[in-house]
Amino acid sequence: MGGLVPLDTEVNGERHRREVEPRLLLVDFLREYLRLTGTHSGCDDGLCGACTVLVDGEPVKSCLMLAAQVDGARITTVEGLRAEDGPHPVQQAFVDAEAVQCGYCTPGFVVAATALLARDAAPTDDGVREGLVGNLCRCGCYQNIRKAVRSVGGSR
Amino acid sequence: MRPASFEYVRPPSTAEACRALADGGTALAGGQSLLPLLKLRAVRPALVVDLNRITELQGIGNGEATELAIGAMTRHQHVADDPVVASAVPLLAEAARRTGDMQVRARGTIGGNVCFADPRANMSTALVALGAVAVVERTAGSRQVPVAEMFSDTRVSALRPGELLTRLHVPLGAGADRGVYLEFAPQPNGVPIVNVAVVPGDGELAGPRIAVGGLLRTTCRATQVEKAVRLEGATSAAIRRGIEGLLADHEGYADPRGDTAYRARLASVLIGRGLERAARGPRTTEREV
Repeated sequence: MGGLVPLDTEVNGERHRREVEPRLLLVDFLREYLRLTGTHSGCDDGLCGACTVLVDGEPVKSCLMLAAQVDGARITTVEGLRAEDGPHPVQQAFVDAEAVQCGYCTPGFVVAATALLARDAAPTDDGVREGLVGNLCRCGCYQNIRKAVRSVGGSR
Repeated sequence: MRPASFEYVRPPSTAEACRALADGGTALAGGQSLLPLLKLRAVRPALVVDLNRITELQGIGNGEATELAIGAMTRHQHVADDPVVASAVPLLAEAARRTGDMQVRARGTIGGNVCFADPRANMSTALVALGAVAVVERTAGSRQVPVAEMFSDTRVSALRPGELLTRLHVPLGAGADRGVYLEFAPQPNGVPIVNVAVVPGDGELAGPRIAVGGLLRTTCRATQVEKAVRLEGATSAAIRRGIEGLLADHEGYADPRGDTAYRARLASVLIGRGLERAARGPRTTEREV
């Protein structure tokens, strides 16, 4: 049962070749194998979005994907968003808008917001609410998160 | 929790996938329903057949002017964003847009939504009202199954062992471009309690086609409601009588979020609104229904 499968994937620009158990989840591969612990595991049931990463640019919940499935794919985690010269604009916006309290949900929100802004460069308030409905903040920081995302997208 | 061990294959073609499924494999489409069940160990397949490498299962084509062919592995976001879907069958785009959240739509597939056979599945309800047909393949051939007949029971599809849903054929015309999808969902990204889809009839002879999810144990075509509405007009009394007829013939669905009587009440309200909007013809997008 469960022979290893080859996994060849690029995470934040770095290529990784491993053999993994088919049942290994992507979130555990990132956190436990690659020690990229910015991706958080929250509800572990696909509801909270804390584990959101980009797979070939698409936002996915890494607790609902097998590591084996990203063979040949390019992954971006919250660690990979950072530019050479400083934080990603969405990261800076979260700081500026004080869109963080305990911070547990923040990596998922930042990655999901990045994906949202790639789809819609200037989302409305409703666009942000609907776009980020798959991410939960137990501190209830939603208003500031919305402001942060709107500030990156510009207002309209 | 973490899944129990399983063997894993990712075949590049439908033919190879069918061979693996014939060997007792469990199909993995978008994984947004299967992964939680694997993690709970509510399902423990010996072999998982990952369909994500099969490019022939992905995409939307309308080579035929009379129908739209949607690959079973087409993601919800793709359906929601597709301009042809938006103009030809806007209710399908709306059903896709209201499925899960951005992350779930990026992975979840229309074929997975049908095959999981949840009675509240958005895409199933829209497809049943549209009269869509599923193309089902196996190693020894293929068959075509109306989506309305794809469900044996709650979360039990009518697929036989070794079969794979490959495409959905959505007939165009007959009011398909004026259809309406409505749902009542306590959370915008959660499973609705009840959803309905209404496709207005085209002309005198054919009345509207109505599908309901979350009322019976499977997504269903509400033929009794259609008949009552044809005979008596789209009054709330006629709709309620039709729903009573449905429930007299079939077992109702119930879960902690609502018993069958509550669902019947929701269904009658949504069907009434759906009929009204389908007759009016606007493509309104309702935030609340």
